[in-house]
Amino acid sequence: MAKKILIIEDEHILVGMYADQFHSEKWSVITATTKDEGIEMTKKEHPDIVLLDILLFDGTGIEYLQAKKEDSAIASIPVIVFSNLDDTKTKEEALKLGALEYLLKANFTPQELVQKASFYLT
Amino acid sequence: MNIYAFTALLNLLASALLGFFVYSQNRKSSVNKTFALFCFFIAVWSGAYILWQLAETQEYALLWSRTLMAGTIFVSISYFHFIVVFINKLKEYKKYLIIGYPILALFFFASFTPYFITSVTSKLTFPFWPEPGILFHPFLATWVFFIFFTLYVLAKEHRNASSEKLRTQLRYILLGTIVGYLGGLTNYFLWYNIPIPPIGNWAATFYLGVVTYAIVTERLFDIRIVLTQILVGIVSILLLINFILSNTAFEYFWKGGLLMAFLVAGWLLVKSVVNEIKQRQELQQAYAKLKELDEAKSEFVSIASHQLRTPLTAIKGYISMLAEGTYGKLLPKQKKPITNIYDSNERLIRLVNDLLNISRIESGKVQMEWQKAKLHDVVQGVIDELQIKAKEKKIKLILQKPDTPLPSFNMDPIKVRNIILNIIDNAIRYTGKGSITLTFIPKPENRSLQTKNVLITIKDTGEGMSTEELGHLFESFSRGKTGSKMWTEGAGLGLYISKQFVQMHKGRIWAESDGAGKGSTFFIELPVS
Repeated sequence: MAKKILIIEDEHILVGMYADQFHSEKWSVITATTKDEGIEMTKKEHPDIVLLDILLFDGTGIEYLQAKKEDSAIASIPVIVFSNLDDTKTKEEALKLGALEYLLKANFTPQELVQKASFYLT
Repeated sequence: MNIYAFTALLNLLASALLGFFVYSQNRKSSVNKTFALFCFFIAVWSGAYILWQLAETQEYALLWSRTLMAGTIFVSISYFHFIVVFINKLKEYKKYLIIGYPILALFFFASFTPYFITSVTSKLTFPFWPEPGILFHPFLATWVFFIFFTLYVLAKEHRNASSEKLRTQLRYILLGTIVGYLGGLTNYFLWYNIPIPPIGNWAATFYLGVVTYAIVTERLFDIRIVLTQILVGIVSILLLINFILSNTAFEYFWKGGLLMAFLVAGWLLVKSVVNEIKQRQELQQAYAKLKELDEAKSEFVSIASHQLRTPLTAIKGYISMLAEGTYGKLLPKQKKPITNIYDSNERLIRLVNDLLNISRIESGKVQMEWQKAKLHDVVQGVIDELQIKAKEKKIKLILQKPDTPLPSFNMDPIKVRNIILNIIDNAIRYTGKGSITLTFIPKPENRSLQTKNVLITIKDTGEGMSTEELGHLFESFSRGKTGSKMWTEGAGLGLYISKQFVQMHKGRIWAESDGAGKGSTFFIELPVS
């Protein structure tokens, strides 16, 4: 069965780009553009892994991680944070809240992101 | 003049001068205003006290003793007022002031009637001691209430003081208040025919002294100005009295000259103290402003970096997907332009990263994250990452391991990785053909001696550098005359950052080259601890 990824990202161009790459490698892709939508989709769709941006329209990825951690039904779903915000404090917080990694978007190609996601699911 | 009148004169001078200077120093501050108000009531009390003591008839003694009490009425509440403003709790205790002031005002209006003081009679050594009227007793109860309430508030504040400095300050105020009011209360025993002489004047002097000492710290007002003004004021008054008491023309002359000379010197002294304090305040403001600007700069760079990276990420992503054929196979002749776009975009991304790094280094925000790590692992990671790039340019990337493996040592592995990555990346860019060799050896090389340093050498067969270029190699492009010319070639800010990171390790970095076309060698020396 195809692996399912939830991409939470508010930049439409980037959402489309990452979705294209995951689709081309036979992943099933769902997307959310806000923090709240992200939580809702996580509960509803139970993705295998989540790719999470930090700066969103209605809050931050950190808030998403907190909410997810408190909900035992979705708490165990792995999350990779990917953001262009290079801030040590945010990074530490994200890792403390259980994010697998904090990646700087500009340093990774979509192919490398797919590799990262696949790595954590094998 | 008897001793009671004399001590009252001291209090009058001290409270009037202190109140005046404190108020004139900052007319807007409520701490200064309430303190001046309290000083005003002490001054009224002291002034009337002198006149009461000097009165020769019953009539005058009655008038001045009533005036004296009129001033006294507001002493304890105005002090309470000052204290709650000083500890910044006015809101909490405001209701006591709203009730207290009108009640005491009623007593104030009654103070010139027989309901407050009926007459004056002879008691102990006093020829004209006042006799209490019917309203005197509730007044005294209200007055004493504010004394104990002030002490309670001060004690509570002292116990909960957030800093040691504030606690010490409050301790002095508390001590001064206790001594001052214990003495002050002795003024009321004779009213009830208890033969205890009043020592309130001495206590008030002590109390003003201690409170003044307590507020020496900047919390209340700059006491240095106030003390200088009081000193100059008192000496001037003494010299003036001295001048007036002159007997001969010569005495008038030299005492007048002395007074004038002192006034000039005193004025200069006060002015210099004021100037010095003003300068210090200006410096503090300038420093605060600089810090604010620095933070604004850092925030701007951080946000700008984030904003710049988003489109760069999209370009990078789509180009790499195009290159890999996600959107269909590329024609062979399309590959080169696509690769060039990708490389240029990578350079932009690196530049943004470097700018952010430099901004952080220069504002001192980069912290060392020390941990024990194996240099070999760090180096191997870099070689693996850059191997593909080297192969594309058909350059050999060689790692020569030392004969015996180095032990792990304290470093910031991410920064060490960054240093080596920057240098090899540059070497690949500036080497047309040949090889890049990385070696690392312990220093001293003699294995029986303890390793103090490790020397990493990165040698390439590339373009090499002139002596002039070598001199400016590790500068950021904001420095040095040749900077702009050199960096347009695209070496970026990597070497400057590398140097900063090496220095944070207390190490050294330098480069050597036999000249253009003869290759370059970079050396990094890191201490092992």
